[in-house]
Amino acid sequence: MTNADLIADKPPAVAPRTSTPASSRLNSRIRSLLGRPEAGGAITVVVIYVFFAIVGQEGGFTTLDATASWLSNAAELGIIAIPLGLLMIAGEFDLSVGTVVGATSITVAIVTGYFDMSPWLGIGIAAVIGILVGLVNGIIVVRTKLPSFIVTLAMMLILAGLAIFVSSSITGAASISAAPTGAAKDIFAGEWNGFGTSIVFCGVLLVIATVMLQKTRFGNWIYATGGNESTARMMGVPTARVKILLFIGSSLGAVLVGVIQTLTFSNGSISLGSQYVFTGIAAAVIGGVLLTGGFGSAIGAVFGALTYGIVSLGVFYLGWDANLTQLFIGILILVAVFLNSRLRRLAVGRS
Amino acid sequence: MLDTSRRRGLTGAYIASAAGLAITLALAGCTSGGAASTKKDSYYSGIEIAYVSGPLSDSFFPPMYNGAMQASEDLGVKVTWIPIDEADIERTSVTTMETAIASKPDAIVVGSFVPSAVDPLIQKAVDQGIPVYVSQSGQSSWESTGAFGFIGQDGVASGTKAGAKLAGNGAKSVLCVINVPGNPYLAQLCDGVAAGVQSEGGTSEVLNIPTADSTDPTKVTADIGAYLKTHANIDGVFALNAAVGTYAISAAESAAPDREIHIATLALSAVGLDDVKSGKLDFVVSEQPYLDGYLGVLFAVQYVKFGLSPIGQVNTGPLFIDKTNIESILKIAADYPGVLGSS
Repeated sequence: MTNADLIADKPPAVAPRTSTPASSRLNSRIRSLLGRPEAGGAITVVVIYVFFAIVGQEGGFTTLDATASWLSNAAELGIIAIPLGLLMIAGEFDLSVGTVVGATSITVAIVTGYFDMSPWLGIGIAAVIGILVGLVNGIIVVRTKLPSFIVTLAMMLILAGLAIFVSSSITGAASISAAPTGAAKDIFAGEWNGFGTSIVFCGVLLVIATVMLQKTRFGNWIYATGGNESTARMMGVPTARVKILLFIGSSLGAVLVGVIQTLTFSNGSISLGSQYVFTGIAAAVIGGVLLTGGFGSAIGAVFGALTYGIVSLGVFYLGWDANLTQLFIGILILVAVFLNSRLRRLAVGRS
Repeated sequence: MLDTSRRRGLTGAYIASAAGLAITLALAGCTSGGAASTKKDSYYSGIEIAYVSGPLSDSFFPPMYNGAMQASEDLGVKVTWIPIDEADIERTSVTTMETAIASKPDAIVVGSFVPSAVDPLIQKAVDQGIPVYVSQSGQSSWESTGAFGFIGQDGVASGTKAGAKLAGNGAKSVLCVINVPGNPYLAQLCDGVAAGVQSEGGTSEVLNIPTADSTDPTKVTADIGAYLKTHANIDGVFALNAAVGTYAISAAESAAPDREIHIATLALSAVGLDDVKSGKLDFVVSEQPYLDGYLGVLFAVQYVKFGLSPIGQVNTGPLFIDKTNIESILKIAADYPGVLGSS
């Protein structure tokens, strides 16, 4: 595997032969499939689902209600994980996604619930906040060359503090109820038999992100920036612009989830979404996005989100001692990531 | 066939994954269920209850859990405890209730921490034919959801009585500490405390502990201490769980040792009871969560079997524990740990 292969996201090269026996054609086909970034994530989600479907069936895991529940939740995580995953492919982290969700939530709730104005105004303000946060994150990282881990961690704290300050000053509370009506509610909080519109949003985002990564120049730039930033810049890739746009993207993903959840729960809270800083990165990594950058895919992030969604909700259907829920989630995540890394080594040819 | 080294790599991956799943299954086998039904032919056997409430990591809930588990054993029914995650309170309030509904129990007992999100799900459960009993949280809206009753205390009224008592003891400026920001019920409790304090001519303020700090004792103590230092007018602190009460005492001792600060808490612990006896705490307000757990299960079981239940709200609180009744309470706490409060 050369750097050029990595940048172009090609599967590992296999020497062509004139007459190949069926078995070694199958061999190379399997290897090229396993070399794709999402291979581990795909296998993991199937194995995990089968496991819970068998062991959790008696508890009701395979019912329509249960499926609607974990799928809608996984979709919300997917909306965070896709743009976060793209940013990670470009070699950066965003730890502020959780507090962007909370800040969005409190903005929408204050506008809709406290001031009784149209939810679209709240959504608009939240989107502007998200863009600003992404812009600031991106510019600081690009200009100062500080690790994005630290920059976005600082942004997380700044935003959390601002959110509670603004919320307490205006309303005196950290949690505000808001009962939305009209088009905004149908679009963001709509559901069909328990399946939320978050699933549609995630699907659309997946298509856009995949097309962008595979078919556009910008997608190549993302892989190039993450693979080797200085080489990319020498080749003419505008790495600064790529990163700033991706930071904005990851913040906007968080804004969308904040809007969806606030309108669904009819309640806004500064602490909404604080877990996504962990679960978003976990989903991306389970889905094959490398922590070191340069490798990964949007569909992988979705497989990772599905896996995490199944595991974190499935444990309740097993009837196991609820105190051990987090322990089980941890073990299963470890297994999933390990499987991923073994598969990738296998496919790339280093055992 | 894949060549040998590839096969070894793939085999390694399968073995490791199988081992991981095997460990998980083994642990599961040892723990099955938060449920105990030891009497095979009990009068109520076969009934399954889903109890949706808070996590055991919050010191308020272990007595409720112990009550529910004791009822499960005494009555011979299966009780599955489904806890929310306090760091992700809105979303997990919804997912735990969805899980409870999808597991098709005979009845659900639920603490509705975020009524705007959970009440519609209670209605959904009732529409599907699953009776729902509301426990500890959700007292202002349970009736409109189709639930068949409520057990707990009126949070706001209890807060008001506590605030008035604290002000009556001499606290003119009371700080109410919210340790789970974003929990609407705790916000209402502090509103009640404010009303109570104001009725005695005092004032009240609220401190929201940042979510990131709320499980860290050192941070919570430091946060409260910093507030006390910068607000010299505060002469009373009301904490909403036993652990935070302990932190408030440390904070007062280190940050404002020369000020007389009256401290009281909601929910008790062994340490809290000792503090009432020694005078560090003015009083403790108990909702007797053990009863919420035990009676919640009992009422659900009797409703499932006979269609009988108490009408309306059953009050398990507020019970005020101060110097006048501390001795008898201490004896019970020593004999039966985990029933009155966390140990």
